[in-house]
Amino acid sequence: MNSPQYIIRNLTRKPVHVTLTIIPICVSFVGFIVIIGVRNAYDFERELDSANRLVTINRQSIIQPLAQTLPETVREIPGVNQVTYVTWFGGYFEQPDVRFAQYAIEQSTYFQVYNPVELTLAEHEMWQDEPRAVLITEQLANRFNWRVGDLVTITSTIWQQTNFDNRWQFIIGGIFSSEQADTDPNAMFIKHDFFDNNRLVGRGTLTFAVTKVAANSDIDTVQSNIDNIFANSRTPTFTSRESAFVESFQRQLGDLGFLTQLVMTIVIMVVLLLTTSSLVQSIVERRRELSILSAVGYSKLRLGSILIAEVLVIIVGAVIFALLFVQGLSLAVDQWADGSQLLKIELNALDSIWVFVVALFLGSIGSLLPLAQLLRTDLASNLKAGA
Amino acid sequence: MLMYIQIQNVSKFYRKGANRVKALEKVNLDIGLNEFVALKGPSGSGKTTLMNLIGGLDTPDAGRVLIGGKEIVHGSDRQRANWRAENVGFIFQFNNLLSFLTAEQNVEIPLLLRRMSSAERKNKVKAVLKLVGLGDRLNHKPNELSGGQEQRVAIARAIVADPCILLCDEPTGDLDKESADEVLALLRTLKESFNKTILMVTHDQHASQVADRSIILNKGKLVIDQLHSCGKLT
Repeated sequence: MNSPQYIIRNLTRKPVHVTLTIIPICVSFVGFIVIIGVRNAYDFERELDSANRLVTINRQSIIQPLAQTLPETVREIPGVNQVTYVTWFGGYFEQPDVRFAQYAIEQSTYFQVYNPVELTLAEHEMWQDEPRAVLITEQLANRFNWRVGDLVTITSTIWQQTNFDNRWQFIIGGIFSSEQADTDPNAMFIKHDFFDNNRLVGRGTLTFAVTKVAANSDIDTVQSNIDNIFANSRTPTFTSRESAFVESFQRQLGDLGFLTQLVMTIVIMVVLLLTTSSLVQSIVERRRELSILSAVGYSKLRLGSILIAEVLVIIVGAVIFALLFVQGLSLAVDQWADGSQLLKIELNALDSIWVFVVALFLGSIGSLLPLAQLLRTDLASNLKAGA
Repeated sequence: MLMYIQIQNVSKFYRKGANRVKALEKVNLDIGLNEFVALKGPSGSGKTTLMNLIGGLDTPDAGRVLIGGKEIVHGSDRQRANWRAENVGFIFQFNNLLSFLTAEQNVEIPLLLRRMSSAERKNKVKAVLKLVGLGDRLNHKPNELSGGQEQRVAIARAIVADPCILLCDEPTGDLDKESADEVLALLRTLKESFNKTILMVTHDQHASQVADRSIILNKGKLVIDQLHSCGKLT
């Protein structure tokens, strides 16, 4: 037996007590780790910021359209590199619950504002020549087992065709990597011209415009200039950085900053309270044992270290369980949401280390008071016969 | 005889609520090397207090405790703990062993404080358990041992680090006569064959006869110091 084995043996002698201590710590860390994972998934905001893009929507609401003449006006603003526009198609495949993102994109400018995607020559030709051609991400292709040339029917919940049918038939024109195009992993790009020519209502409008600002220009100035131009028009605009635009979508899920603080507070309270109470309980319950160990040569500091090590092992165990649980949850969510960036829990090794550091720090802080109590305890008095 | 333990004018007081209770008052006592001393007296006479002072578990309010001519370190708890680990082995009346560990592991505990390989520790523990007659009970937990066997494991733990002094607080108090005799015989062997200096707190007249000498405390004062003629089991 060595010291770590002694600690483990001590822990395993009261499995119910240990389990009941682990569970609340584990649950609180699950919450904490999930929040970290969700924040990570949204961390692409920073990458978006570096892309120097602005998103313009109708000031009233994103569901109110803007005129397709808007990009032409915006292009005239100094510092604007290129402008493209997008309309939300809002469709599903076969069943209403089989949803993914479909964007009608302005094909001549979209890939000047966003990174171009790599297509084979055949795919490129089809995308250029076939009005019904759509581009899809690799993930979407795998999900539905779609191949280039396949005919697919997407039912839009927003747009009807001129024949009053809301089932739109497209041809898979190309398959690309979502990372290349900075887009949702489950995305379909429809040609805006084709979409516009065939929709029953809303022709000549768009859902949002995306402006690429020149690298040497002040993005904030361009942002305010766009809104100033349209301030007194029929459709006043609201322009924000792309990251802020994405964040507004995230806020529909909840205020992550507030949730993080809330969960962190709960974690701190739970770990501190449980560490302190568990140690105080150990000192009271095991007074005789500690006294005997003291008699054979264990200093109070060493005894305190053993007790703290026991609590830290419990905390580390709880964190390991929590991490495993969240990894499982992450996989389940990924499968359920089919890789959507808005519903994702991303954890990396550094996060796991960070969680362990937080856990061990809190455990150590929670141990200070009981340790001080132990140092003041007169262990010798417990050694008297009959004590 | 070379005086190994020297108690010089030692006084110790405890606080009990608002009162100051006298545990020992100006006690002077010399115990020789390899001597087996029985410490007797009524409850509250200061026996355990004296034992704890000699064992470095407590510090005197006045006077000095010298072991081998050197005053016991009255420094930090850590220094005193190190001193105990090197010099003293304790045996108590009951609940001596840690219930969740086997006999072997209980005996191994003092050795965890030393720089020793696992194999060295195991060999030493086995040898000591064999010495106390429990070589076949290594993997038994305290609840699988008789009272006498438990006490012998406690003795093994007390001697495994090879201290010079054994301090025993009522080691036979909870045992039947047969088991008590086994434990006393073992203590006697440790004195005679392994040159241990033994101080044994006891209420038992029979147990005290095994010692070389009896000291009686009353109300914190040493009242009788008596040498025995044979110091053997009768």
